[in-house]
Amino acid sequence: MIKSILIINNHGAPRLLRIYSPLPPTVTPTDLVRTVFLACASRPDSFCNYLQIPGLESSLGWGPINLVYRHYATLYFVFCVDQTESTLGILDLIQVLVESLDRTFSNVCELDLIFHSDKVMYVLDEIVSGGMVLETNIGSVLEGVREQGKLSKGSLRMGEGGDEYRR
Amino acid sequence: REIHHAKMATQARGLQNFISDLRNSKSKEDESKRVAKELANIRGKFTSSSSLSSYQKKKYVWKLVYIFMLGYDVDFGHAEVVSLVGSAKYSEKQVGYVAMSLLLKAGDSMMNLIVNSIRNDLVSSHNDAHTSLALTSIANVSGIELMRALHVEVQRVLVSPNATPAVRKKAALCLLRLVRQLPDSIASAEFAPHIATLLQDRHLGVLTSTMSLLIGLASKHPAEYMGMIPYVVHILQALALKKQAPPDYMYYRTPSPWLQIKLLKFLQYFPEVMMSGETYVPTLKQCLARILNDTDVSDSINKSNADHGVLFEAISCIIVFGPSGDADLQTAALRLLGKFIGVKEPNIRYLGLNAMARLAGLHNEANKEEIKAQQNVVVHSLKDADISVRRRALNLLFEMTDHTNAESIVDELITYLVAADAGIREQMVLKIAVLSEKFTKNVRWYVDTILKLISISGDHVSNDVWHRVIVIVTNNPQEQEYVAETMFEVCSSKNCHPKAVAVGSYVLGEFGLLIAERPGMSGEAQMQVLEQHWPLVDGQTKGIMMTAFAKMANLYEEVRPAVTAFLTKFTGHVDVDLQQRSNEYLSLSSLGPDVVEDILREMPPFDTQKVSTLELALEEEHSDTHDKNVYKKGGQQQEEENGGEDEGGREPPRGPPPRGPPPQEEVPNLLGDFESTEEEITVGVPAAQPVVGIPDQAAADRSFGKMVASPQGVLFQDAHVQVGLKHEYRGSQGRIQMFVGNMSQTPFKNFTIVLPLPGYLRTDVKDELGATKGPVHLEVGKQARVMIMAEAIAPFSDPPAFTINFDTDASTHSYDLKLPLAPTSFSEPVQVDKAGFMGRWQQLADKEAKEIVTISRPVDPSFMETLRAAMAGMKFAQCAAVDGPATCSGCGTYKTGAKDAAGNPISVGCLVRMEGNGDKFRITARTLHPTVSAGVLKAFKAVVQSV
Repeated sequence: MIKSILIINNHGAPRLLRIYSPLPPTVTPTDLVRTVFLACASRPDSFCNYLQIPGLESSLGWGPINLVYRHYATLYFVFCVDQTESTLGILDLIQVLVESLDRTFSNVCELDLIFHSDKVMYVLDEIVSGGMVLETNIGSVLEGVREQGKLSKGSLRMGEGGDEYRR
Repeated sequence: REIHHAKMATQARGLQNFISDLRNSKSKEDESKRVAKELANIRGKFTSSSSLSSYQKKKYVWKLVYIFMLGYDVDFGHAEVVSLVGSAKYSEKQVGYVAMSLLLKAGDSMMNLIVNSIRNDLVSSHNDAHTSLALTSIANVSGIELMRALHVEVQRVLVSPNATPAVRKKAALCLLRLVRQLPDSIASAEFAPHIATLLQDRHLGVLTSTMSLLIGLASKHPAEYMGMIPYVVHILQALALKKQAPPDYMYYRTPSPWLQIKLLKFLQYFPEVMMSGETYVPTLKQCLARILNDTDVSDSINKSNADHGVLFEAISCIIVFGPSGDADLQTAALRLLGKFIGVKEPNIRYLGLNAMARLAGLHNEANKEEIKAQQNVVVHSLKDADISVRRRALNLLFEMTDHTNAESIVDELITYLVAADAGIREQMVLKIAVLSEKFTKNVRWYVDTILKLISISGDHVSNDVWHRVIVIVTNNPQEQEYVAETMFEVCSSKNCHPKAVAVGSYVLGEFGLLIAERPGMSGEAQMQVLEQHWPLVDGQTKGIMMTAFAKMANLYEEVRPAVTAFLTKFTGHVDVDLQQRSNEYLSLSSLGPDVVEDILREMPPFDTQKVSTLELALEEEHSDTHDKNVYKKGGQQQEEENGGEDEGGREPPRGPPPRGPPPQEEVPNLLGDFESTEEEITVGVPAAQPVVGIPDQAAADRSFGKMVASPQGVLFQDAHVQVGLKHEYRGSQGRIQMFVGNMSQTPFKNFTIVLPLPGYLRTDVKDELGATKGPVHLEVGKQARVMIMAEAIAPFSDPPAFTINFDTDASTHSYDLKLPLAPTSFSEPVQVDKAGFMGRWQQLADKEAKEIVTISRPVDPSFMETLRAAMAGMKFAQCAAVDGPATCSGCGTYKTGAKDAAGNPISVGCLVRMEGNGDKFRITARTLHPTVSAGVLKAFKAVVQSV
């Protein structure tokens, strides 16, 4: 199972935070982001994409956790997964997420994630649901997101008039 | 670029501005201030009386979501989220559901308010988009109350023939989440056909989700889903052999690697599948062979990831099938792994090391030599710059060690330990200690190894490690002289590590005599060598050292004055332990020499039957999460995992670690304290004649367990005495009759029954002979009868204890026994149906007492029959509807005579579940009161162990 998904930039600022297995009260989301970032950022890109942080495992109480991460330009995409997930499969899943985002924003960059966190969330929800892989076909993912966009706009027009939104 | 983005934005301008503000903040403090200001603003808007427009509501909730994602705490706005979810407009619903899945946590009170809106979206809206939103957020929130309220609806959506693939795949994952939280909510037998239908879906997205669900289900009840194997193999054949997949699902020219991985994962729950002789076996073999042979290293990193992902899963499959699988496949897998652990690409090397460690962990003779041949390659990875790779390499080395290569691997590890960084040292020390102990008969080498460990990395050597050294040296008399000599030399150095001093103190105290005749190693010299470290060692070591000195004083005349002087310094020491020791050792001389001799005698050998604490420590690292992990070491542990598979539940599979000297020792050896200095140390003057206690505690415990469940019988019996018992209860009241008979050939003198009845019972004791009041005489063949009328008035967990004492001509007897009373004794059976049981079971989830017990024989139908009969004897009604062949559940009410404020008697509802597996039994008791839970658990534990 995917326990948590984090997107963190090169300076440690979180750009997306999704937690599928509840955190214990002793660990705040900020702690998680900081620990994960420090562990990933200290590794050169030539190292493997897997990582374990024994201290984090014991404080989270999630059991043995593999961090599977990929570093793209300014962003770290980090998936915290348990031992039942194929680590290479997760690595591919990160690629699917990134390609989906890339097509959604036509050449995605960090600013897109900042100013369109809603859309990023919708894309992610089409790929991962409740910590499990939902869809890996980029076409279907984008289709789902587009459908939602249409519905959302449609309901706006039916509703109070779209002029409140600066489009 | 930023302006461009603002123009493109779909989000409200207020939010854009807020985000820009945050980006412009100069420091973390600035950002926090801005966030705090915004939170105050939003809180004000939400609490003000003027109603918010739809647009405002969405804007503020998105701001909260954004703030949450930055890692700040957001603890309000739930009501607004609820109202957005309930809206008829899609745009509002969408925001509401996303916010809900992020901001609301399981257990939030708002969850109940939201349930109806969600149910509506699930079933009656007939709007796929709404249904999808609802499913996604249920899966993401995972609140137990949501699950309980909605699982029926989710199942219905999943199996509905009208559902679109998009809805169906979401429903499957939603249901998976449910299965994890309420494992018994799906009846496997009824649900399996639905899964079969889903597996024939043509949509690969639906198949992927269904496989996730199926793996979740099969991990709990593999046997129920055996029938799915042909479908799974069929899909695998289409993907792996025929390479059939819609172009959309080709990921870098590989047909949906995720689905292939899931199919292979599922098959690993059925390690015996290859032997089954079913028609799909040849196809499966073909698939595995194709995956193994066709994968080549590709230049595209993504293509290579995808292919290797499938390949490694196939290798896992072959590993799990083990010897029952195909020998050619195994050889091929092993060859591939051998190649992978030598490649440069770090990911592949990492996974290769990992997979090979699993293979080695199976301890399969056929592969052993080939794996061992890789030792040098693995050692090379141990020096890799990447700690992830190093950890895998260490793990593999650990698994591939056996008697033949232990010394060379351990020596290699020790060489590397000198240069190893802190991140891996602790793990290495533990593993080196375990290996050196487990695989060598050479005690000298073992002790030298541990001493090296202490000198290189003493701070990482846990107490468990050096305690094992003591145990092993004590149990190997032929090496004691060598070890004493070695320790003397080690401790002679001023810079010796405190842990080595601890070992040295113990060893010289026990075995120093063996070297005392050697030049320069006299008792005096030994004491000096140790004493020089006194200021630098911790309290525990000081205690051991003091004990060593006391033993030396007893052995060597010439050190006695020095020891007395030394001990006198501590008679008023601030450390209570040292103070007590010094005072007691000083007063020893006033006792007779025989007594001193007895007390200061060397320690008896340790019980070696028990499992090394170190291995237990290692095993704690191998714990599990949700789905059963099929790679548990050795494979044979798979079965017992079934017993403890609840969320995050891990139970140490074996009994408590060995502690201190063996229990059968009659005279308390007061120096047997090296493992625990907290224990009270008293100088006991041995009684004039030996005290005879219960000869076989285990048998006594069994009789006790039998008596808990039966109205009359023998509670205890030996050659001298028999204790019979008859007890009956009605509601909160009971009558217990006890008969103590003199079965020996001599009369009992000073016969007493010490019966301190506890406060949770209101009692009236009738005793014809008066043995409960003072010493009496009991003739040969006569009985003392005691009748106890008891009423339960409070929760309790421990049964009342009592003691029977008497003297015969030759010996003094004292038996500590327990009355077979438990909360179950005062219980009345309650018949419930399945839904009633499950409902109550969930309600009481937070008041549970649970234990895994090992039983003497395997669980079989006759065992279960006896257990069920015993449960009826304990006046619990069995709830057969929730039971499988190896489980037994029951329900009862613990009645007390206490009254509540309204004057009604208080009673406590009790549920119990016992689940057998192999020779393990998991007993879970849930009642309204934690003490009663513990009591019910103890009672059933005693019963289970007595069957």
